[in-house]
Amino acid sequence: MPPAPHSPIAEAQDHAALIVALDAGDLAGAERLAAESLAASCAGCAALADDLAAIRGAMTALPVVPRRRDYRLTTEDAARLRPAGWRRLLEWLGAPGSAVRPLATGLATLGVVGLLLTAGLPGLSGLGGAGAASPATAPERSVAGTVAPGESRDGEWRSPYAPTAAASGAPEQAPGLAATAAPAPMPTSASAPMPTAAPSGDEALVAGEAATAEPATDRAGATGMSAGGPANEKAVGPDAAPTVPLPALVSLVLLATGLALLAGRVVARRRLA
Amino acid sequence: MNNPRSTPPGEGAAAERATAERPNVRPGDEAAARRDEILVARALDGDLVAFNQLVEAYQDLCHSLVARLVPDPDQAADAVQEAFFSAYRNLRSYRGPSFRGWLTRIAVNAAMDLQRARKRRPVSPYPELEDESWQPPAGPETDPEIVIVATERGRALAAALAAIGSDQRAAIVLFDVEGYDYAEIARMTGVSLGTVKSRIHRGRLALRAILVERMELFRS
Repeated sequence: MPPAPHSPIAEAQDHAALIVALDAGDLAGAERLAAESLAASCAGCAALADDLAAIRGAMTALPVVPRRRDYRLTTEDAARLRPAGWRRLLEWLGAPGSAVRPLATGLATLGVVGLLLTAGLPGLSGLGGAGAASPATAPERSVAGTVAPGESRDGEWRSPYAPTAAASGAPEQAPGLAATAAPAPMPTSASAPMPTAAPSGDEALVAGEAATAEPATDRAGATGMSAGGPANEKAVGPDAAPTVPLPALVSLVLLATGLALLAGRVVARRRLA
Repeated sequence: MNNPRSTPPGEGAAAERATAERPNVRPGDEAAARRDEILVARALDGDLVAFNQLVEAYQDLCHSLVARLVPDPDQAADAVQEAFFSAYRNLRSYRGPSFRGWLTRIAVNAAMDLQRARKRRPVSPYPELEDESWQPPAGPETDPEIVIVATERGRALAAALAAIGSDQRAAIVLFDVEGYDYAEIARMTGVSLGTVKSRIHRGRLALRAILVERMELFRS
């Protein structure tokens, strides 16, 4: 890179910067020697150095400006300034040494532990939604004789919507599927809609298929909330509402509360800083 | 020629570390610091008298500092009052180690905020020149000529200070008048140490440019 062209103004500014830095005591070594030799050799630089020293000396002798007002706070001032509402909340969250941090950490930890336990226990698991049956529960369904969505009793794949069609009495329904509309021998939820194909279900009962068709009844009725136990909950159809067990819900709430408290504390400390 | 209070270049890091460990606590301030801690604790418990004792202890200091940063006396008084209000409001965020340093920082911020607002809403130029209560420093000299020269010098300097930028003025006042070092000023004003040095250097050059025609006042 070629050197910048010489400029008297820039040189004077450089000299002034050097002299003022020397006056402030910010130079050392070679820079200091250069500045001192500059002040000794250049009349303008020497005058600048003298002026800066004189101004600095006068600055320290500036008079104290008299105070005309008493700044003590009145009780009204104190009442007005006392934090209220969200400010009080911010102070509680951001106060040094407050119990917010351990409380938040404890809640978040409880939430995480609860979620892990809930996910680990098959009986409590339910976070995966209706269609996410775990492998551990599949054999139970097989033992119970239940039919998974999209699976017929003879092992052939069928559309998960086929049972509904069967329950509504479609003429082309297979005999095996007709049994899926049978009323459940187990007591079902009171809010569960009645199957629309009860007559054909009665026929299935006569055919001796009722015991094996019970879980499919829930699918056909799309209740998803039958009292048939966890295995039955897993057998709910894909259009059914996912269920979250209470322990998992409580864990989620604890985790969310803990994280919210921690985030609130960070925000509060920034606002109060 | 060198300023005795500036940090020697070779000892800058050590001095900065020492300042960072105990900002604004000077030798001799230990008793005051202990008193302040007790009063702060009482004020945090809702004792307004304790807080007002802190106000009494530091209102002269704060007023003197802010009055040099804010040329208008009324605005300076408002800034000091606002600083004490702010201190009362935010007392729970005080974490030590020096109440004086914490309060000074609040006062400087209040003054700087006021200066920024003043830039948006310009007011009349420096009225302190007309302030009859503004007196030269009391000293052994009673010679009228010396008193007059000192008065003129003070007024010229105050006017020049009012004419430079508020950031430069704050840095120069805190450094030259109040005696804070670079690291303390950087912490108070929320800028880097290099910026503080730059503001002081540029501010001094600006002062000299303003006062160059009246330098005889400063050499006498």
